[in-house]
Amino acid sequence: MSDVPSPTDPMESAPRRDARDLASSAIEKASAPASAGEHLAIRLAFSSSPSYLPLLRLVARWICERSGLSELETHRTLLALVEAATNIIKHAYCGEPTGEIEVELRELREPRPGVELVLLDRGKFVALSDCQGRDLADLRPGGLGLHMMDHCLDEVRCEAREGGGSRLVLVKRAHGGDGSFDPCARRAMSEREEE
Amino acid sequence: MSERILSSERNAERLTLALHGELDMRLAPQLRQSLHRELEKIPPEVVVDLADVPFVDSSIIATLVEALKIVRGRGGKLRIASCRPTVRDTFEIARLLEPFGIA
Repeated sequence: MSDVPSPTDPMESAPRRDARDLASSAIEKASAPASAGEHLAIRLAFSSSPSYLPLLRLVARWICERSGLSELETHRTLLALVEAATNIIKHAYCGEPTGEIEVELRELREPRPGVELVLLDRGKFVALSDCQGRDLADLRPGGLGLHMMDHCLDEVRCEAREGGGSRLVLVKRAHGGDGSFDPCARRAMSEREEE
Repeated sequence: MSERILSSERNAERLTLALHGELDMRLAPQLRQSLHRELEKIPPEVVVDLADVPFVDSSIIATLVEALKIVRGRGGKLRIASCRPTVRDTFEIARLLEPFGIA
């Protein structure tokens, strides 16, 4: 596992390029010792500020693509991951940037390739069962995050941590097909899977 | 440090708002402020151009829904144009293709 150093708020005081340098450094460290068949794992730790969301996406995109997820599956994984991290910032830490969020990103192999993303916080615990989604036919701002996580992932599990906070596990596996964004192709794929 | 996330072009008939970059929770407040300012005075049609946007999350969608309601409340129409496949997929998951006129 590799750590990314978490300097104090780099996005606020440094040029945007530094986030990519940090990500590149983490990815180099993670890649160097990997041998054939080794399941890659990366750990990030950063403060509960939305400034780190681009860095999180950058690293997650890399591990998704490496794990063999399609473009569509990668996009949906990143979307769900960002929604999860946003929920931690907003609800577990009430919008304060002083908490810590850890994210562990792992490649999965059997039974199908994919990724497992584990988000850890020490904020207020909110069980998924207590979160109310909303009727999507009701056109109003807000309330979409949970629906997006549910729609985009194969598995979402949340448990309380000893000592306070939450452990949120997100799993996305490759489903085959061409991973196309073309809605007609996706409909055709769904129909074939149902047969 | 404020990023440039919105540029606008307007005439008597149409206001075009082009958004830029990966948009998520960290930019939602800035986007909201910019949209409110641009929408103080609106022509009959407002087009939000997302050609330069590779990513949006639910906080940005919420901000755009708010803008849609403002425009409709003033008797105008708002639609989203030039969605990339990734962004279109996000709106589709949120079941917002039809309200925003996304093909």
